[in-house]
Amino acid sequence: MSTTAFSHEPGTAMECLSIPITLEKEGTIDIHGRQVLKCGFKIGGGIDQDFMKSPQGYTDNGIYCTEVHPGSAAARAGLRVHDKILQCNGYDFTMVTHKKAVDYIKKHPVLNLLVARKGVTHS
Amino acid sequence: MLRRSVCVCVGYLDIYIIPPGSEANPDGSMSYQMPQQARPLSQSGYHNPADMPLQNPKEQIAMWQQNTYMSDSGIHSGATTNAPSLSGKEEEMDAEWLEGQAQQGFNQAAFTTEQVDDMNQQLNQTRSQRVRAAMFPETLDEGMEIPSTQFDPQQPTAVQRLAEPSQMLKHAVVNLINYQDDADLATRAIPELIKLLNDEDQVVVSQAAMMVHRLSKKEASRHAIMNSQQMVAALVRALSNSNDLETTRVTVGALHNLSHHRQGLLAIFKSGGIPALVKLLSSPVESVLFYAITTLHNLLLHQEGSKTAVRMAGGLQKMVALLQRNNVKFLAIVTDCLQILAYGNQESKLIILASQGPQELVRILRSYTYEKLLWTTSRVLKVLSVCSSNKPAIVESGGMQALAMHLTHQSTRLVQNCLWTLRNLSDAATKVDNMDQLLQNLVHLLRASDINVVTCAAGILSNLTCNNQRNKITVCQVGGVEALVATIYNAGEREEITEPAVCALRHLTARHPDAEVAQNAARLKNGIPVIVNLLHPPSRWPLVKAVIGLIRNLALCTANHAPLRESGAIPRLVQLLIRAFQDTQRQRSSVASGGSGSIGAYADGVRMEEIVEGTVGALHILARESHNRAIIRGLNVIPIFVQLLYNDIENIERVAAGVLCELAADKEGAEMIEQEGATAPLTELLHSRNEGVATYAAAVLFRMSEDKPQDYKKRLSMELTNSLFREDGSMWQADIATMPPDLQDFIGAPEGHYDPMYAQGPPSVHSGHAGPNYQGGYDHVPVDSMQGLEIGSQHGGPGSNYGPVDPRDLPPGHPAARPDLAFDQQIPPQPPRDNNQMAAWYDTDL
Repeated sequence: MSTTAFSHEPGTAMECLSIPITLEKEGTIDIHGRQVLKCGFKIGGGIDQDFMKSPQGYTDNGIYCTEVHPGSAAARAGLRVHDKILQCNGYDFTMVTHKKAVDYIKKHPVLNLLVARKGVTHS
Repeated sequence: MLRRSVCVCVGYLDIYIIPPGSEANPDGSMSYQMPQQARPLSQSGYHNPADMPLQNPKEQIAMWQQNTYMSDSGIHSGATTNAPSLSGKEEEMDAEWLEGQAQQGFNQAAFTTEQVDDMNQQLNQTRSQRVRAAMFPETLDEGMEIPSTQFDPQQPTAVQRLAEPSQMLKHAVVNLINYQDDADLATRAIPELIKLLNDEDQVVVSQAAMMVHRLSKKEASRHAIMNSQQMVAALVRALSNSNDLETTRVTVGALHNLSHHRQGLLAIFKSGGIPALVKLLSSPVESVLFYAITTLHNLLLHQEGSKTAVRMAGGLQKMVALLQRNNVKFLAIVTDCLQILAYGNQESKLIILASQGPQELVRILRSYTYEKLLWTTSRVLKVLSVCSSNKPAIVESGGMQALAMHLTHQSTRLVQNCLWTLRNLSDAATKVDNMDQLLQNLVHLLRASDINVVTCAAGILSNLTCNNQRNKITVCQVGGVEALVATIYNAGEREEITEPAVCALRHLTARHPDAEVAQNAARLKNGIPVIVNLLHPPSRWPLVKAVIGLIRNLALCTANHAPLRESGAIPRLVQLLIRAFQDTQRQRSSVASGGSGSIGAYADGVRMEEIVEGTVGALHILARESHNRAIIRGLNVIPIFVQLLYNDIENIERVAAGVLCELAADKEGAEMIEQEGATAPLTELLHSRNEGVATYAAAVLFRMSEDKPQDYKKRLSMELTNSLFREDGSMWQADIATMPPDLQDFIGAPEGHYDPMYAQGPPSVHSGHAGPNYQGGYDHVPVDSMQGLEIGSQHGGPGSNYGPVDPRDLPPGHPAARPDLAFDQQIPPQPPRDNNQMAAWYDTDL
């Protein structure tokens, strides 16, 4: 297996193994009484971000999961920190801006993700 | 307007105050006698309200009024009443109780009845004061002494115990009464006031605004105002249209009062208050200005959408202009606003830059001592320092030195923010003078107990010592080498500390006049075992790469050869070389077979070619010593060196030829090299465009020819002379020093030397908020030719420090004067990476 998934040049073809993750968002009521759907993780990255400035030391412009809140929907679904999100509900996440990634994630109550994980899908 | 008092008229509210020291009646109730003028209600207390003797309404009112204040504001207790006396019954009980206490020997002597009566009298007189103090402490005169009846410090008196609950009750009653009044008033008055505010006559508007301002000070009426969108809109309109100072002042004051509540903020925002407030930022009147900025600050903090609105209204430029004022609290608010606006928004940062923001901010850091202001300013600078356009401006305004001033401050948050900012700026500050104080403070901070502080200090030192001789000398002089060795030792496996520290040491141990002192100092501090240990797991590749470079520099000092050998550096270096070499071979074959990896064998952002080059380079220097050579020979690595002679990358060829040159000094070495078939590639390399490569190749061939027959030597000499000398007959200066003296004689090379190799690359620590991804520079381009390289640029691929080098910038004959630094050939065209468009790295919570 190659390590190219984590050093991927956006726009180039890539083929790699991935882990499918289904994440059902958790509904909570916020302070205004509105219904809010939370995933329970944080993302970083994007083609408009400079990955060299990432504290986690990421090596490309992909969308990475930088934190998973314990006990959250993301934790239950099996998402782990530093997973790279390759696809979300069919949208390609290897060439998106940060904002677009956030928008896509926020769009639907259930996320069908494909992630790459070092040591599992790649050595 | 009239306000009702809160007089606790017990008769209506059933508060039972138990006088101190008294016991309750059997039924649990106590009486609190009304003023003596009134008819006593009962001798023994109420059993229930129904028992209360009926009084006619007039008398009731009279009673009520006894306790009613006369003036107009605030809350009054029965301050104007006399101390009501208790019924005689209680007095008796008091006396009895006291005597009982006395009989228990509570105080020293037993009291006589007269004494008891006296004390009782005193207690009575001050009882009302105690009660008043418990319930209405705000009405007490300052400094009034009220004798305490507390005998036992462990036991609070009844009044003390009831103090808090009665306070709470008092507040509840106050609020209820206020609210009701104010809410009513406001609901009736507000439509009226709205009409008046919209009047054409400015005087009317002014008066109405004043009224609204007064109303906005009280909580209930404030809520009424906030909930009326029309009212807030009318206020904003009045503000915008006002041309008289007083109106402006009261209107913005009212808005300011509203801005402490969420509904108020929302109402102001929705009514377009932000543009109006931003306009006021040009006001010459201080009170208006302060109200306006505080209101805007509240909006920016708590109201979504405010940031965009302020930006669009041109708030940024005005705020930067306000930085010239000199009220520290005001400046703290302005800088905080700027921080909120600039965070994560590139355009805002550029606007601040264009308005001369960096100069003003640096000036503030230099001029003031108010901690909060220094802290907020450092946060703005931190936010700006990740913007590549702002960085040079901040550095040029003396930002580094100004930040350095506060590194010894007590406030940890200030020190931390200054450190982060310095780290972000440090890769743009390698050519700045007057850094001595900063460097000294940083070396001192390496000994701090806070990990974050140490990490930042190490990172900044690493960047500032990169390619800057002056800084290197300074750091060495203030004990930087010793401090760094100690830091590495203490850091253990914390790579976020060890990596920058090792890079800094690497910078300090080469290419400046005191380098040898530094190399020795590292050994004297017992640093070598610790350093060599870092070559092993769990160290990740970036750290390993940095350590390799450091070991190479340390090996320049002959006294270090033995310690390095004894720490097992050589076998480990060879191990790393083999591993990296195999990775590159694999990568190459996968590329050749059409694999998709076109970027190179990467691990943790480090290219294996760099490891190959580094390890061979270190072995090259280590091989100057004969014991080391023996070890190297025994590790069966010469075949790899020979293989590397075929490598595409000139630098790798050069170091490989260099190590073979050293190894060939021994007969066994020379034989082994020849057996590996090195002659052919070496002969090829004689014609290399890279003079260093050619020189070393010549040296190896020469040494290998020791045992050969004479005519062979003669032919070789001619060949070498032809290859090494150029058409103009001059030999390129670089690498003469590395040419062994015997070869120099052999080909009659002239004087002069210069070691071009293993210079540092661009500063390794990139901008970022937290621990960044360190890429130690391991470039081979000397300092003078760095102008062509963009420091910290992303050209040449991720993780690469090989920037585009303009051949015209380089001294003629320089090895890198050929534009095809080989790494570039392997990298596909990058997407445009304009730093100005790059956002600072941040995460989003989802």
